[in-house]
Amino acid sequence: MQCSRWDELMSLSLDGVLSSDQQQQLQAHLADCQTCREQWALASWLSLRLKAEPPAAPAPDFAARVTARLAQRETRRRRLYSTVGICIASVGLWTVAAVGVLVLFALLFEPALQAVLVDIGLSLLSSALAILSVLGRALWTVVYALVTRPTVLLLVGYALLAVVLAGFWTRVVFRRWGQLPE
Amino acid sequence: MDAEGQWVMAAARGDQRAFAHLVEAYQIPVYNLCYRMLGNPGDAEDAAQETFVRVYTHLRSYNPQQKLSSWILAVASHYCIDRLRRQHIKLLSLDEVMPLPAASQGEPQPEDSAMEGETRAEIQSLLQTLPAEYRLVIALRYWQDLSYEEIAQVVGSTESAVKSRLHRAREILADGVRSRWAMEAMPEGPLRNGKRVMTNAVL
Repeated sequence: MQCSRWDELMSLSLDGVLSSDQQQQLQAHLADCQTCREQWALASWLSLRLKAEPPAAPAPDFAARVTARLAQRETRRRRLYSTVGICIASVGLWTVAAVGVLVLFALLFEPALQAVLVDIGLSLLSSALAILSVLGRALWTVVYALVTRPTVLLLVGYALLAVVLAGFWTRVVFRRWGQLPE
Repeated sequence: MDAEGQWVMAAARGDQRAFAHLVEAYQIPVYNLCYRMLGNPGDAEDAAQETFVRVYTHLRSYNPQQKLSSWILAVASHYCIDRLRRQHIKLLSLDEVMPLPAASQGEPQPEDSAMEGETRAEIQSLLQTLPAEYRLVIALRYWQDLSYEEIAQVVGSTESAVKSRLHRAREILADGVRSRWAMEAMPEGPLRNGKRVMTNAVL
């Protein structure tokens, strides 16, 4: 048997998994082979040193530091979720604002479209707003009043209001991003 | 159900105090494994913390049929291996633009030497000469005292592969010791003192 084969048996012997027959064979070989005897001496010395080495322990209050890290991770996750929610609301608001301005523009300068838009577009808007609370219904009443008696002044007012609200939401979004940890 | 099982169930429902009990129970095995793998206390602390964060966030996927210690050590092992791979890639990319410092990666860090004894530094220095996969099986065998089967579960491999890695790791460690002895006289060693005694004691 080649010495490399005995090396494998030495490794298994160090882990205590050799059968008694294999153990006897190994001992018999070690008695005859100077190279393997030296190899075994070194391997067993190394193994004893590794076994004698105590486990490294963390600094005190390790569990408290883990808890703090978990809390930090949770805060970061909540901020991310709220920021995503605000982004979605912001996009929705900008969309409603743009559509509203376009509808008012069409009502003012394309009177033929007025009836169609009122019947189709505003009924859809009415259905959506009906899902909302009292605030939504009140908003719908205002919007309806605006589009049934459109004037340039009302169009400008609506556009300004939409821009202010959308700008406010955008500012909130940027503040949220600024608070996010890197 | 034992106390550990109750802590696991409570922690999976979000009870951080129950999870703190688990951290207390497994902090030394996890920290020690990270320390042996990464080689310095700072990285070991960070890796051990991250291991427990991952354990907490994935606790619902834990199968109670599996030994909890093996599962937690598997999380730590995978994280350390990934971290070492990332460090290796970073070192390779840095190597393209600047030469590496003169000190080899295997040498103990200054803070390491200050905090740890000479023997620990020597052991750590030797361990750092091993490839990460070999270092992992050595750490699990010697400090966690796991069987081949348990090591295979932790590292996601077979028992024969574990045997082979342990054998190869021991060869590399022995070569490392020989080359050190060749460079400097060791105050004590098996070939100088008590070779026969050491051999008989282990056999």
